[in-house]
Amino acid sequence: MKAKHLSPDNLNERRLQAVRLRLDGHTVAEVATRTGLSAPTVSAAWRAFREGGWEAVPVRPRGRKVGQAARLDAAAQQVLGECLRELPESPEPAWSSRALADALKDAGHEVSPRAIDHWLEAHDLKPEPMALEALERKRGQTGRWYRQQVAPVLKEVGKVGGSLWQGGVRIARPTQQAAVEAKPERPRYQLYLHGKRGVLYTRVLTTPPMVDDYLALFQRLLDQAEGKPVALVFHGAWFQAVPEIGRWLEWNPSFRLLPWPALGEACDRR
Amino acid sequence: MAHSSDMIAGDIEGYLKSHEHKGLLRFITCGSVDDGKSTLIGRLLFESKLLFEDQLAAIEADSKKWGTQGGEMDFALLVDGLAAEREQGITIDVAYRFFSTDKRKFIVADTPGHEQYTRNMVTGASTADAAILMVDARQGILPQTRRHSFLMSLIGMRHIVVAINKMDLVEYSKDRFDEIVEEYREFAKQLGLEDITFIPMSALKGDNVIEHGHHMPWYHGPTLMAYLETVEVDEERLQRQPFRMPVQWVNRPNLDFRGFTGMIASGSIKPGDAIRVQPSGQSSTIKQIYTFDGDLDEAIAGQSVTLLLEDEIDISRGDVISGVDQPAEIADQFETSLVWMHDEPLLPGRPYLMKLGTQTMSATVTDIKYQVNVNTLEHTAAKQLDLNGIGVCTLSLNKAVAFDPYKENADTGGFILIDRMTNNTVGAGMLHFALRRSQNIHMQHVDIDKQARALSKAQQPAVLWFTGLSGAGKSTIANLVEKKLHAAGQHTYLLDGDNVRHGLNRDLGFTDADRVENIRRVGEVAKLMVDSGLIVLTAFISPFRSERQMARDLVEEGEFIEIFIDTPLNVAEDRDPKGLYKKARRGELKNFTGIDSDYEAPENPEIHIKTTEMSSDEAADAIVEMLRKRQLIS
Amino acid sequence: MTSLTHLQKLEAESIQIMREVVAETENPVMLYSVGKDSAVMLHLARKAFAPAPPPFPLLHVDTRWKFRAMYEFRDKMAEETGMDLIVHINPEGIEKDINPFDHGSAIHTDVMKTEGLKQALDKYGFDAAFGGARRDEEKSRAKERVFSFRTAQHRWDPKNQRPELWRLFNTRKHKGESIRVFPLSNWTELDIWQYIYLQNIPIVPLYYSAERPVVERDGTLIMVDDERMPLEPGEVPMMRKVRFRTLGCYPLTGAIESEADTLPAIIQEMLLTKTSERQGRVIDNDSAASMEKKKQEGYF
Repeated sequence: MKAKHLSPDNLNERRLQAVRLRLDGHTVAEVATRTGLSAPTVSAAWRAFREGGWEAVPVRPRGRKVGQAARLDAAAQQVLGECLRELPESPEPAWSSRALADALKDAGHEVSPRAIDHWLEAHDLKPEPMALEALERKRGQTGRWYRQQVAPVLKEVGKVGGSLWQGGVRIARPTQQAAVEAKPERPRYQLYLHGKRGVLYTRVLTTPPMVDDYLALFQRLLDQAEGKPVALVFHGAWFQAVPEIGRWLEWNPSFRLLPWPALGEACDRR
Repeated sequence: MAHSSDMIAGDIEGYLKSHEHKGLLRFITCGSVDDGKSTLIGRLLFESKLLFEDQLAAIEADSKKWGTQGGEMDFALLVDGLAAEREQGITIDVAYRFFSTDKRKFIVADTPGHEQYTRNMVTGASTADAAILMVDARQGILPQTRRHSFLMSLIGMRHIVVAINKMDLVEYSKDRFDEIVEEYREFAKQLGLEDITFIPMSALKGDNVIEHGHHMPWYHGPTLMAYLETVEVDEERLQRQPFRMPVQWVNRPNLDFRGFTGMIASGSIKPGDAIRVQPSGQSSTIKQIYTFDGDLDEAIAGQSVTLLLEDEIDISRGDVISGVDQPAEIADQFETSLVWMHDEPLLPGRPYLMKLGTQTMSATVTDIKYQVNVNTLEHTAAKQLDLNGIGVCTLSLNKAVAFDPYKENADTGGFILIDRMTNNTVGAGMLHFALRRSQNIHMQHVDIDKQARALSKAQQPAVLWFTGLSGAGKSTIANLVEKKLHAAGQHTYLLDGDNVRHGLNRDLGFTDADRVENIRRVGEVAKLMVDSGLIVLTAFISPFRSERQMARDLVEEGEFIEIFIDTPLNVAEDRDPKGLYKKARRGELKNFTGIDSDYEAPENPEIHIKTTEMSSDEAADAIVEMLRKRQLIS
Repeated sequence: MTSLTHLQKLEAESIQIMREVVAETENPVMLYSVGKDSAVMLHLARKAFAPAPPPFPLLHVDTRWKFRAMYEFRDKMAEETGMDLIVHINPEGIEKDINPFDHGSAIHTDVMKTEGLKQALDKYGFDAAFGGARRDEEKSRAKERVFSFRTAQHRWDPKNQRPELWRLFNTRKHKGESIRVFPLSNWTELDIWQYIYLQNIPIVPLYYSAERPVVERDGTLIMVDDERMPLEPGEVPMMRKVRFRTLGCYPLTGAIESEADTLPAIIQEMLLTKTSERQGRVIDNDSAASMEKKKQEGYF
């Protein structure tokens, strides 16, 4: 049973159990299997324990309405918005919830990464990772693209211990309730990345991202890899039209950009 | 009401399925500027949700600028068109609007109520299945209502709704409604209008337009929309009529396929049905009803089809394919109603082109029996019909055609007249009945024909038609030419003002209508003389191109030689042999060509003589030389 | 008794009009814009003259700035119908490299489309040209005749148009004059879509939603269809799920964000949508009277 559907009591019981098992020396994966919680939830419970002791492990009662993120007052939201527009000071390629929580803390707003996750979700800023592996067996153009263009590169990069990323650019469409809250409402262009365990890194801009935004992202991914190759499956940008991107890729052959294909126009769709 | 949004959102395929089977109704709205016609149409469009937000925004903006509803949404602005008109605040022309409900698609012909636009209303009504006559409940039946009703009866409108509007302004009074109904019924009887429905309504407030509302519990009839969704479409009536299909185009892509295409005007047809081709009268049987989507087992009125016949018979565009049991009548002279649609008046005797179904021929109004005053319905005598004039006339064609009386079939009984020179559509008419049956008056067969007579004279018969201003030298030169031809042994005759105006045409004056008739008679006489083998010379001003064309059309190709005696007006006026120009300048002579009546110079005369460049004798020589070149004389 | 549906009647009427033109004019042509209305018009022409191909050529007045998918589709349709395809591009426009970016939409449209059309009609001596315009498209079109007369200079005189009664069309004209004929006058946008759906008529794929590279210009989504589209410094086009409600020159035609990738979905979207079809045309953002002016200049 997935943790999402547990009652708060049941969930908190399992979180406490997960911490106990961690203290007993079990790995995250083992704990996850035994408690039925997801790996990130186990990690989160463990982190909460290390930072705030047993008291910090249980989550607060859930069931808040979407968009009413706890403790995110207008001022905090403003700081959040400003952060997301820029690159983080850390070398991370974009903002994780944790990094955002830290930045808010520095600005005097005590907000948990969880609350930030909620806020992101409420503002349609938490895209799911693409189910790339599922494409392996898919028929048609997308499946062919994955098998021929993507899978070999991922394999090659993975073999030498390089990092595998996926991400994209999209337009966030908040639910109406959240939109009312987040004035002034302008289109939000979101750059997002999903790392190994599906952790989200993101930036949110008020205009479509420019070449420099993309290149900064690429450069940080490359820097982080410390000489190892990087593969990035990317959806939602038409890099073919931009020569600067091509030149950068030529200079950085260990960066393997795998843009999602523009599917050919099928004439008959009936 | 119209498009159920739930179904669109929930089950679009089901929605499309149900809308495949909608019918189509065309109707016309008649009314004056103030009785709420535009408001009604605007409301129908609005209620059927066929307006988009950007259109609504434009109208709201317009409502502030032009609106008459004090800033409230002015539906009337939805239906105003051209920018120039918008500024005048009245509509002039026929506008077509579209809306649809679950049952039918509607095409609305919106026409102005203004008096001088009879032509627009007749145009709009010609394709309509039903008419909505708007009456302001406060005003009751106005002269305008009568006028519009008359036009509807003229065009043969089968279903009429009298929408008694603005009931809100007479306190929704049943008595007032009954009073108007009574008055209208009395009047409609004179016109012979039959299917009339009366609906009390308020277009502004919406009562009895789509919903009944609760202001008039005493009214139990249909709402306007309910009426429009169920009234019989004319095509259903036409399906019960005998089969007719005017042939539009013969499709012959290869030797094995010979299809006769057209839209079925009435009745229905199946393979194996016996048909007759009219006017030729040949018979055959339907072999196949071909369409792009496959052969049909049956085709009905309103469909565009391609028919293949069992026998190879000669059929061309303009012929009518009819059911063999009830064929169309054939005639070349008719009594007809005529609505004049152009600034240039209708002149009896002038030949026009007539388009009836898919055939085009020459037609002449031989007599205006009477003109109808649209306001009083009185019959008055008339020598011509002006713009928006309506008359009952006799019409003569240059060949016999297949037709049905208009009241039975608009497609085989309705026609337009076209001016031969300007190509404008100048009139529309409705055939009543044939004046005599052409099948009874086969041309008298004569053994001695033109050829035989010409042969005995050893000459080529022809008309030498001299035209030019008064004083140009027509008669002088024509006389000289005749002398020279006579000297060469040709048999000639000269027709001019002197020998015609004093006898044959002594009943004619100098109005445009009389001038036309004058030339028509001269043309006919010249034709007879050509038939008798003579070379005819005519010397008349004959100022109008269309009459010269008429005279040309009377004889055969190559027999008509137009000779333009070209003398500039100032030169002719200087010569003034009969002192006529001086009189005209003093105002003693009316309608004098060149002074206060136009001379339309020939565009392509066979012979062009410039009298300022040669003497009369030289001109005559030149003409004779040209006739020789044309091998008219040896 | 059977009764005809509204689409059957509209079809029969359009076919009657086309046959009338072929029977009565000397040198007709069909203006083929590659859009959905053209698709329906072409389909009706095939029906009108089957089993022969329509006895007139297709004329595409090209601006060089149409979507690539339109060119592909156009050539495919010409081949499939067996009709001659005449493509005319205003040579003056090529010489001066008239384009929507440097010259603006008004001049581009005027030179390439309006002038180009007049040139082509003059060059080939066409005396009648079928166009796909409909009366429901715009308020000033409501009064347009089915047969619209143009002077030898291609001007449209709103005061001098002929009344059209019953099914009788007066096609007579003087030398040099020409007629624009609109067989789809009485069709609405919904009729067009419904007919395409029922008759399985092929249309350019751009009408269906798909991920396409777009940039934003003044709030309008413009597709980057080829390398001629100038990008702002540093700009990267985004892939967005869009489709087109109307097709023209790609730099002048706005895309809408949409998920509609089947015909029923397109019809559904059209019925539920809140803006009229021509909103997507950049050239229309002038006053309502501008369309009328265009008409007088011979744009249609």
